[in-house]
Amino acid sequence: MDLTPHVTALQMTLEDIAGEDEAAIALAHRMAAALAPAMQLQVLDLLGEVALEVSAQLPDGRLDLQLAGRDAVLIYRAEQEAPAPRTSDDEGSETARLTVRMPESLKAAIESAAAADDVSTNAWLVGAARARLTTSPRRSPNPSTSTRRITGYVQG
Amino acid sequence: MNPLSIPANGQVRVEINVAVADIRVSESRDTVALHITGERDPGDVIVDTSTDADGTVRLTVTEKRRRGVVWGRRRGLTIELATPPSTSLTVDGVATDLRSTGTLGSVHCSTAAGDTRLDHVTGDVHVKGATGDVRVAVVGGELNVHLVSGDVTAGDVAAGAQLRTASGKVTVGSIRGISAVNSVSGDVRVASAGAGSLAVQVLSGDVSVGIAPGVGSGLDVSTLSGRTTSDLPVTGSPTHPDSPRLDLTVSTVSGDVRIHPAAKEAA
Repeated sequence: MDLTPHVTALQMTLEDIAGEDEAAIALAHRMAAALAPAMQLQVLDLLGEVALEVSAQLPDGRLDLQLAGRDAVLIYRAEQEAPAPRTSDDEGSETARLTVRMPESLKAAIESAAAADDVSTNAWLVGAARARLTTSPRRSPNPSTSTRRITGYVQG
Repeated sequence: MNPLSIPANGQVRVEINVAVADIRVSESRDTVALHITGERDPGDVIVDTSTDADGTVRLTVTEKRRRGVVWGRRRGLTIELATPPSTSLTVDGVATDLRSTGTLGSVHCSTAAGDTRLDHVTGDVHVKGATGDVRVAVVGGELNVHLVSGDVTAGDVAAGAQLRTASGKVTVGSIRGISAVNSVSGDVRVASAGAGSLAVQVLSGDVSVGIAPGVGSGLDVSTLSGRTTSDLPVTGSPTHPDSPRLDLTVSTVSGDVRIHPAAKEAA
């Protein structure tokens, strides 16, 4: 995607703020030009965070951010990893009840996310807990020290 | 009224609202002293002082801002302030350099351009700016810095840090508490991370974090196209479950990440 229109839009907003004053307009022009690289970086920052957040939620694969000149490209890369061993402890075990206290706003957000996924709130929470347990470094049965990712524990 | 010196045996709150200024703060024992130079016209700067019933001294320095001349043509002021170590200082400016020696209680600084250098702050430090470096030696509370372009350097931070810079390096000597560091294109280096949590997100920069002696850390460290290394052995469970705990997460897109024992690099 071409980031230039987004950066230009931000620059125009800055120039609008200057109003009618000539000195302020001239300064706004200079500031807008000077801030363009920083704005571009902010947009890239946002895209980078998007890639990281989405990658963390993907069941497999990852979202890469690639730069080609001034253009940024988001690319999905599939990975040939075995799915997490999610049911080995679950199968055959009885269900248990747990009372959880949380802010009303979080409860509403969970219910809305469950509705969006077309599952019950209970099923959504169980899925979220399972995903957290299978990715949490605390519960990792074996430490992982690949060249791209380290999970586990160290002692300082 | 200028220069000004008033006794202060209790709390001191200073607010400086100026567009362009060079602000120097030094430590005094029980007085607040103020000296302003560079005033273009008498009455450009309004200084208000008051003392609350509880003994709190309030000092406000406000510059009249004129539309159209705030930028560029205005000559800057030099503000010299001497104030007791528990002082709460607030600076709201456009282009301000702030330097303090000695101890302050807390600092809030908002400016578009300018460097902020602080010696010792016993409480929280908040700095928001577009361009300029922030350097703080010792923070007894939380360090909160939000920059577009500028380096952040801190010696010791006791109660966590929220540091964000688009294009600048982040260098921290030692840190404890709940912390987050975000940088787009700068390296992040934390020489010694103690108990608490530390989340580092960098787009294109290297990250190195030292684990403080005696601290057990849970790691989740990842990079999309760089390399991750740990100089400490990584285990599947804590080797010393009773030791102070750090939760460390690091994610970069195109930088290298290194985890190491703090003693090797801590100052």
